[in-house]
Order: sequence, then structure tokens, then C-alpha cells
Amino acid sequence: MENLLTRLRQVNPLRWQLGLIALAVLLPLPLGNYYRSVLWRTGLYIMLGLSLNIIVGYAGLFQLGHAAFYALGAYTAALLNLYLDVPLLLTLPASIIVAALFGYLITRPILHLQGDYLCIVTIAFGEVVRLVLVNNLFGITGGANGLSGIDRPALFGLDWRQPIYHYYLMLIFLVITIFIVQRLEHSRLGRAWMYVREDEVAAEAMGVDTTRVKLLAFVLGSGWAGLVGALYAGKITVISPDMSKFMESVIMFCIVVLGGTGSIPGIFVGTLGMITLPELFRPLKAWRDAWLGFAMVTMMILRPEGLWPSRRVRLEMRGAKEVSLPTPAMDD
Amino acid sequence: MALLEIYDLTKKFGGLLAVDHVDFAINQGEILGLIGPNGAGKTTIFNMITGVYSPTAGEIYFQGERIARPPLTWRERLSTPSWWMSWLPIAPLQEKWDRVRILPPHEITERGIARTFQTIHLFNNLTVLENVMAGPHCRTQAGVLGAIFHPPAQQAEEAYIVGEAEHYLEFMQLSAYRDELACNLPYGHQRRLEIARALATRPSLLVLDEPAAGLNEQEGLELVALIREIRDSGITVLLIEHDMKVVMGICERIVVLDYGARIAVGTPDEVQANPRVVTAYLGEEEEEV
Ligand SMILES: Nc1ncnc2c1ncn2[C@@H]1O[C@H](COP(=O)(O)OP(=O)(O)O)[C@@H](O)[C@H]1O
Ligand SMILES: [Mg+2]
Repeated sequence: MENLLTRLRQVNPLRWQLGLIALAVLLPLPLGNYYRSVLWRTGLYIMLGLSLNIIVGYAGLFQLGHAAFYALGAYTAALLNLYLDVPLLLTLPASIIVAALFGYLITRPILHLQGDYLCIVTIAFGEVVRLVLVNNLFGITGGANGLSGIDRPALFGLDWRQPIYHYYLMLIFLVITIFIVQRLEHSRLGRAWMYVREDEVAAEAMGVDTTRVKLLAFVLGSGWAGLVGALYAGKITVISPDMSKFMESVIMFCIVVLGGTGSIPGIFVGTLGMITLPELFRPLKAWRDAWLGFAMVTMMILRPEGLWPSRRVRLEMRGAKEVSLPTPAMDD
Repeated sequence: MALLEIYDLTKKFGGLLAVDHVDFAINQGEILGLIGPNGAGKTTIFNMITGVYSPTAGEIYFQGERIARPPLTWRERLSTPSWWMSWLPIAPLQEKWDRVRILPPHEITERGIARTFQTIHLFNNLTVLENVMAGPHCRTQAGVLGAIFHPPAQQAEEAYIVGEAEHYLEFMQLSAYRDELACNLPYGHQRRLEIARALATRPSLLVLDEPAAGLNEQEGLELVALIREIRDSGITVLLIEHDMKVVMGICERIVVLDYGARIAVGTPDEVQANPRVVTAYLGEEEEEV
């Protein structure tokens, strides 16, 4: 396993990226509609994982309420579509903006909180969103039943009841997401996130506006989850407050952590484990929560850095002092 | 005009008076030593200069502008018109508020004060080069769009950041370790890396908190030579030291603290001859025995 991973990493990245895209394009063709839908769901959760990874993986912040932004995006798209007749694809920018805006408003006052405290507040926020939706805010969110009859995307006169078109639409967004996320990771902003994750005090002393940088992680991550929510609404056409369930946020969090925090291939591995496998092996689905707990405990003991970790996070978790050097004692 | 002026600086931690009405100034181009026994309040003064703590009383001016002051109480804030209007994107109003508000550490770094830490604060799992690349962060501005679309301005900026980082690695004689992880460097090199990272913010004032702590004789001498070189390149240095011997060689002037209060200021010779300084340090030696 270890050797295979290291060898895979040495292959020219562009080559295997193109290979993967080709595989992703061809994969659904021989499959039936059910499996095509499973693939679509997998891609959707990979995108959710990647968006959450900006917050949890890059900036090192806890977010256990990510599903709330996914739900906000879906509701924005649905409301615009149902009440104002905006075509679904045109609601996407609004979904991003609304989710990002909420990401900003919610996290701005709680940014100074550390670790576990931040975690608790984000859980609470996810629940607040769910309850507000259940209680039928302004009488337009449909209460516990949610909203139904949302239009599917209409493009090229295709029959959008077929899952395959949704799969390709998702795939386009997935490729864009991966491109953006990679660019962000290797940029001035990406480095600033690393600095904050590594040592916030030092980052601040080096002139990094830590508040701004952390806010940006939340805003970008939340906005992108909003986009995924809108894509979801466009295929399922029925949405409910359950999208913002705590369990949903936990699954997203596990996708990021299981595969390897901060690593893009890790998100793929995490999604396979959390979404695809339970979906394919139905008996497993009923046991998913148990399997989830079991997997997490085993992971934390055997491989805390995840199945396919990024080089850095691996170092952070395992400690890089392979060659331990004598550190002279300090006098205070 | 002095580069940094400290007036009546006081800091209380609960009942403990850590810094007690201290005044001093740092002139452009000098190496000023701030010394005192352990617990005298040196690091606390330092943290007030760099914006980590705000003073209980007193003010600090850098290049003629106030950078530290006691925090406004809510009552004061509510009665300050510029606070009410600070959220408006109107430059003169914001400037007015800038003169009242407390600057966070990153803005102080931006204005030209860079620091090192008494206990090393490196980005341990990043490479040496990546560590120093943190310095130019506050001199560049590429944001989200720059990161995604790589416009020419962003590419030039990235090249500038790497160039700067390499320049300061060279200066601190760390080029050979460019791609090592910071935590794998020997202790003495880690100290130098912290200074390289601080220099890469292009400061006009460099504040070093006990940079010689934990170094051996040889490394100490090298460090002193480097500090001189930094000063000769036009950067003013504030050197905090616990060990009197280190500062005597390089500082033009020395400020001595004891129990938070300034007990002496002058040239190394004057300070060494000052009976109060002798007692403070003698007392400490007795305690250590
Ligand atoms: N954050 C803090 N909270 C409470 N007391 C503090 C804090 N920081 C420093 N002190 C106290 O203030 C005094 C001065 O500390 P410090 O400035 O670190 O001394 P020095 O750097 O000169 O050795 C010490 O008595 C220390 O215990
Ligand atoms: Mg100290």
C-alpha cells in the first residue's frame, strides 16, 4: 500500500490527472442509472469534502456545521427557482453568494475561538439552520417537508431526468473545483493558511492578517458548499431541512479526516469509504454509523494522518524529528 | 526624532506590576540593549511594542505615529465619533480612527517592526525557505483571484517573494538548508532562521528577544557579528538580553530594568559602573546560588 502510493505520486501529475478525467468521463457509460446516480453522489461529496478541506485541512480550523451551507445553497436555488422562476443554472451564483455571506456573518464573531470551542459553535450553527428551516421561516421554506418541484437544469435540450447528464455537469464543476483548490493551495493565500495552521502567533508577527485569512477560508469553503447544494437540488428536485443534519456535517468532516486532512486524493479515498461503498453495499448502509465509528477509531490508532495524507499533515501528525538533535536547555 | 519612543509604559497582570512607568527612546541606526534579571519585564515591554499586549497605561510612538495605547473602554468608544463612523469606507474618517484605535500585531509588522521570539516560534513542518517566505507576505497583496488566475502581477510577486527569501537566507548563511524542514535544523540555526524570517519583512526596527539564549560561545560571537551587520545595513536593533556580557560588546546604549522599572540608562561603561545595576544583578546571582 505504502509503496504503491509513493510510486503513484512520482508519476507526472498532469498525466495521471488527464488519465483520471478520461476515466471519469468513460466510467458511467457501461453502467445503469442506479450506478450513475451513485457516481454523481460520489462526485458531489468529493466537492463538499474539497470545500470543507479549505477550512479544516488548509487553515486548520474546526467546522462541524458545514452541511448548513450546503443546505443554504440548495434552499437559495430552490427558492429562486420556485418563487421567481429563475432557471436552475442561473441560481448557482446566488447560491454561492448566499452561502458565502452566511459563512462570513456566522464566523466573523467566533473566529477568535480556538479548537474545540469553535467546533461546538459550528455544530450549534448547523442545528440552528436546520431548525429555522423546519419552522418554516417567513412561511416560504416549506417546514419539515422542505421544498419540492424544483426545475432540473435545462441545457442543450437534453433529457435532464437522465442521471448521466447530471453526472457530467457535476464532473465539470468537480474539475473546476480541483483546479481552483490546487491553485489556492500553492499561492500566497495558501501559504498564509499553512502559517496560521502551524503557528498562529508567529504568523501574526510576520504580518499575516490571521483574522482575514481564516475568514477567507470559511467564506470560500462555505460558498463552494452552497454551489454543491444547488447542484443537488437540481437533480433530486426535492430538498428538506435534513440536508443540514448534524450527521451530514459529521460525514463531511469524516471524508476530510479519513482520507487525509489537507490532501486532495485523500478526499477521494474518504468519499469512497463514507459514501460510495455504503451506497453500493446496501447492507453496509444500515450499518454505516457503526462502520463509521469503527473506521474512525481504528484510523486514529493506526494511521492518524489519514489514508492518503498530504506530506505536510503527515509530518505534523507524526512529528518530523526523525533525526533528533540535542536542544540546549534554555535559562528560562 | 527618535525612531521609537516609549512614554510612561505600564503593564499590570492582575495585581502584578510587570512594567512600571518605563520611558526610553531608540534612535535611528543604533543598537539599543534592554537588559535586566529574569522576570524584570523585558519580554512584556517587547510584547507591547509588537502589539501582542496593550499597555495598562502609557504610549508607544513609532516614526512619530502612535502604535500602542491602553485599550478604549466601551464608554470611551461610544463617545468617540470616529469609532461610530469607522466602518464607512471613507479615507479621512478611517485615518482619524487609525490614530485612536489599537493596532493588531500584523499591522505593526507592516509598519516596520519585526520580531523574534524568546522561545523559538518557527513553522516547524515547513521548509526553511517557506519559513522565510512568510516575511514578504505583508509586502505583497495577491488574493483569491490572483491565486486562481495567475495574472502577470501575481507571478512577478511570487518571484519577488522567493527572491527575497533566498536573499535573507544567504545573508544569515542558511542557503545550504533551503529545503530542509525547519524543525530538523540545529538549535543555533533555528535562531538564525527566525532572524532571517524577521528581516524578510523589511523592517526598520528589528527587535530580538534573547537571541543568544542557549547558544554556545562560538555561536554567540557569530551572532554578535551578524547583528552588527544588520545594523550596518540600516536597520535599527533593539536587543533584549538577560546576560549582561553579551550586550556590553555591541550596544551603543543600554536600558536596565529591574522589577519592571527602569533603573539605569546610558553607555555600557556608565551602566556597568552604576551601583543600582550592580545590586540588581548581584541580588540575582545570590538567588541563583
Ligand atoms: N501573560 C502573563 N500573565 C501574567 N503574568 C505575566 C504574563 N507575562 C509575563 N508575566 C509576568 O510578568 C513579569 C515579567 O515577565 P517578562 O516580561 O517575561 O520578564 P523577562 O522577559 O524580563 O524575563 C514576570 O513576573 C512574569 O511572571
Ligand atoms: Mg523574557
